[in-house]
Amino acid sequence: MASSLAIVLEGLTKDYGATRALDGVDLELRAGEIFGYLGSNGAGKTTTIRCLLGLIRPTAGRATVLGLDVEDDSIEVRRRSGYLPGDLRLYPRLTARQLLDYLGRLRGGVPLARVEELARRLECDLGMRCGAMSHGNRQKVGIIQALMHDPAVLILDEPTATLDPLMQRIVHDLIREARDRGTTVFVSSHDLPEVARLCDRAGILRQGRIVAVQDVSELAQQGRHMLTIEFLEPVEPEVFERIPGVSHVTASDQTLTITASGDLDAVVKAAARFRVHALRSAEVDLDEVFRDYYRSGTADAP
Amino acid sequence: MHLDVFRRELADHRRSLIGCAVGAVLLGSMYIFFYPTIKSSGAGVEQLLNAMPKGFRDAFIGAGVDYLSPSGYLGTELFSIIVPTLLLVMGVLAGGRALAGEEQNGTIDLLLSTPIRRARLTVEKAGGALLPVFVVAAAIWVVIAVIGPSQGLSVSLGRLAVAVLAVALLGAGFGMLAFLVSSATGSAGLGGGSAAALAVAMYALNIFGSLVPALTGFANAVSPFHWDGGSGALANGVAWSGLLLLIACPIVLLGLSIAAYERRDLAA
Repeated sequence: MASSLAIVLEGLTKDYGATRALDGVDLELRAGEIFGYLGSNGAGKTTTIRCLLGLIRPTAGRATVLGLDVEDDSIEVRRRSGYLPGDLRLYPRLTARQLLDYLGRLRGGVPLARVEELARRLECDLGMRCGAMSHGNRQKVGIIQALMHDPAVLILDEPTATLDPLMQRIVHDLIREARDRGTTVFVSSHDLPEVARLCDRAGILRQGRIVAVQDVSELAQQGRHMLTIEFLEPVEPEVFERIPGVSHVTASDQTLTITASGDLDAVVKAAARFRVHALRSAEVDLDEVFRDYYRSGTADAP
Repeated sequence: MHLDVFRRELADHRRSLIGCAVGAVLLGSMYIFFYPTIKSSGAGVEQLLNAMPKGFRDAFIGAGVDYLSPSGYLGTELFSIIVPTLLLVMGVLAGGRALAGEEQNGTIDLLLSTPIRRARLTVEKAGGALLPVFVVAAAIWVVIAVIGPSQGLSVSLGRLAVAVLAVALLGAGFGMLAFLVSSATGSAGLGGGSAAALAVAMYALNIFGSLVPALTGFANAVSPFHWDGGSGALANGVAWSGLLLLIACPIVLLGLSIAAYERRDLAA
């Protein structure tokens, strides 16, 4: 079965002095899947990714990419991977074309047509100096350099964090096309909805530990909403507390705040019994989802 | 992978290289064109110099060297302070920034995500950063060889080449020290600063060596500013032992840099 696994992490641990950034991460990525690596800032996502690229060395444990050890066969791992750093920095004095040419040469040459095609789709001006580019445009150059050699593995650290929704969609398309050609994609994000849209499976990292790995379709069901309903008359919170899937009901004056998972139908119908002034809904933030996993997921959690 | 990093690094130094080469040529020409005037004032200058303590005189002009001779004049004016300082500053600044600069600018992730070995990156970076030192040294050789004779400054071109090479190696050596410290720590400032501090200390030690007989042996053995022949390099030549040490140091420092960089965690 080893051949169907593209990336394997075994007890991957990284200490920075007394701080444990990664704490025995076990993870298996199947070949040809888009795997979302979810975690809040500081959870250890970038540390994991930089271990895979050989930029830092794990304190303990090991990792393989396409069966190659990331420490012993780093050159081969990097030859077959495309990488987008989380904190992307380019050479300000080079134009995008010069930069891509430089990185392409270091890879032994990259087809120019592929670069041009990616630039066209991302609407990226290759003649512009990187130093004069907006954050979003620099990010596009970073995405082009990660994809331009059609790598077998794509490792993307928060690829769309600085892009507008339209560009996000184009980047998601490019990632899916790569997956459809057989590329394995490891993409980190702190954005649950993004992972839900893009990924096949996802792992949740919290304080250097994997707390859950599941199919994204399951994760999406965990998606919950925080509803704030303003009424034009006093309401009875008990009506809402009885609805299955509803938790955290707080009422003050004529405003009600509840957290609801799954279907909102019952909640809306209950609210309709009163005169509604306004209704706002927000996705429950990732941290809340983490806390749930943390409470129920691991036996050794405090 | 045909020396792409080397060429990129060299290209990054294009402007400073042109600036330093032009500066060196102008400075060299200035001293060359001063020579006839200084020489015609002859005895007065000699008197002034002879009033200096012998140690100082030896340190700045070279032991037993006639200041007004072509090799004495060029050695004193160019090879005692100005050219070594210029090449040393070039070497230390470029050496300190070459590899650690990529780390501090955050571009190292991009660079090392390509399949290039760290050892190769180290060698190409060092070469690209320090080659300009030798180019400027060569420019100094050219300006003295071409303009010198017209102003009565004819020196042995072979000896001049060795002297210029020795000073370039001095600059490259301290540049490699900056390179080693910065690539081992990720801090260009720490690398450049420590190399500059050691250069000043070694320069002072060389002067003290000339002034204090008890220190002479130690200073001559330890200070690179003695190895390169100093101001006497043109008149007295550069000793083989000194030249070999000047060649060996950058090579050893490069080896240490490769070892230090190979297994380091690079800053994000």
